[in-house]
Amino acid sequence: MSFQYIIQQILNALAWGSMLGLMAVGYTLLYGVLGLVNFAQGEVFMVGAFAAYFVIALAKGPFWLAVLAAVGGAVVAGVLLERVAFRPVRKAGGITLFITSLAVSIAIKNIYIMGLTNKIRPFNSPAFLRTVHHWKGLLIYNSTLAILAVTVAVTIALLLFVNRTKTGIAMRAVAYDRETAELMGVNTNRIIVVAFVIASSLAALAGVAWGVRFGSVQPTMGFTPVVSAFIAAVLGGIGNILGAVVGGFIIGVGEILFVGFLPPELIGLRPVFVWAVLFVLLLFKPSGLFPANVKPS
Amino acid sequence: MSDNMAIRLQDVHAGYGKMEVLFGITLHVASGEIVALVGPNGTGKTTTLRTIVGQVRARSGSLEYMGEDVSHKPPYVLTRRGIATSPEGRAILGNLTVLENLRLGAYTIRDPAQFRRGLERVYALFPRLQEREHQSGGSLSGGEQQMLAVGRALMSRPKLLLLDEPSLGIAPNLARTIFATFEEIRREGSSILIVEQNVYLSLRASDRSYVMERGKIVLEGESRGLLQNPHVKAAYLGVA
Repeated sequence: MSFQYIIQQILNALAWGSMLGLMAVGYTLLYGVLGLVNFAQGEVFMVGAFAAYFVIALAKGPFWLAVLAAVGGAVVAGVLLERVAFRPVRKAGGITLFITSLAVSIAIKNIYIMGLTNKIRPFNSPAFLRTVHHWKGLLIYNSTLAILAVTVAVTIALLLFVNRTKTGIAMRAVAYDRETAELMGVNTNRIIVVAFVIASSLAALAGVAWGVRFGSVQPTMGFTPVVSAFIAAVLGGIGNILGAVVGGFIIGVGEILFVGFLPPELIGLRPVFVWAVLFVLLLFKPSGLFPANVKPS
Repeated sequence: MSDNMAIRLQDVHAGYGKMEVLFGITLHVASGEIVALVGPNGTGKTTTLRTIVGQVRARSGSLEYMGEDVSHKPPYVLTRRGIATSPEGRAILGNLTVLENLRLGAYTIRDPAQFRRGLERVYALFPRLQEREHQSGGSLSGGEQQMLAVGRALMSRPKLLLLDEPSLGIAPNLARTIFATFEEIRREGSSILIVEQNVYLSLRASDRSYVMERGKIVLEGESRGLLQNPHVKAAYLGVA
């Protein structure tokens, strides 16, 4: 196993790490502002990916329009879920919210399967994303660079938003103490909707990245990244945006390297990696690597 | 009468679940007045404030702010209309810096120039906050947190300022410093309702006072007069 092989594996893993990072930010935001572990995040991701697929495959639209449709579709799905599924049970607490998200996840997935069957559908990405560069014996995909660039840009924008803008400060305040935020004039319902809009947009970008990277979409695709992204969010310190992105990269790259070092017949053990990370994390550093952004109880 | 009335409660009953805490509270704060609501622990003073800002629903009775019924308004709406609170236990956001806490206090202020003026004013009242500007709210001492809670409430330029136990858990001379700012806050155009256990300090700093015991107002009047009242003297001031 050469050094070059390891570098290649890490390069390949950057796109996957980006997807997990984008998804993990959604988890961390929604957990922060309303204590919701949103397992339906995987379906929002899938809805976004399919919206992009429809634009490309059926409408033959340009790629930028597909990305726009993905974000639009996912935001509509996320905001709708907030209004009809999560808001009515918000006062019932975290466990109820979590179970609601499971129910919603199953429902959306099955609606898509009923309408479209669970067939794998080819996702055609534009030529510029399919270009491959050869550099010192390494293969560098344009798609990797693009996904990485988008993830970095989105993370910086989000950090600026959360730390510099009034709405961002209000969002952190809601995460820490909703009642006091409300007392300062913050409409917490609005902040929660903003959090859903952001989380859904990021899930949509991850969904498009999935389509570009793996060349296909499928109604059950949401299940794969959901658990890894959740653990990435916990690893990063819940409520911490930068932590979630870094956690996504650690988990994403870790998963790929773990599989890369296993003999081919043991590749099915890939999920073991994330659970092992969670196990070690809960034993030694349950608060995550970065400071959590929720009120210590 | 109603147009110069900041807040008026008429026979307000309220509580939590099956427990009734307020048994018909009637009180008012006129515009430009400093009013104290005093009494022992657990009589419902904080519940009275929570009812005014809409965190607790009044079960009966009327609640008017600036002559308008506000008994079914959520807290953030009342804040936007000019009520600011320094809540029980200070409620500093420990994950935000001092400056961010103050920015949150000015959440309802749109104009950046007005925000800067408010910030200068708060820093002039509490210079310590400026020194601590970029520290997290959670790292402040109890007294500094109290200053931050009062300063944060001032950032919205409130018409009515509600202060819950501003003297609790802080050094006596710091409490005096904070109470000494009330006169200046009033000059800037706020009416103030102080809820306190420290009866002497609040009677000295206010125009009128209400004494509350077991969910009811048992005494009211000019603060100066109440300082001489035999019941107040015996029960709260430790002089017979």
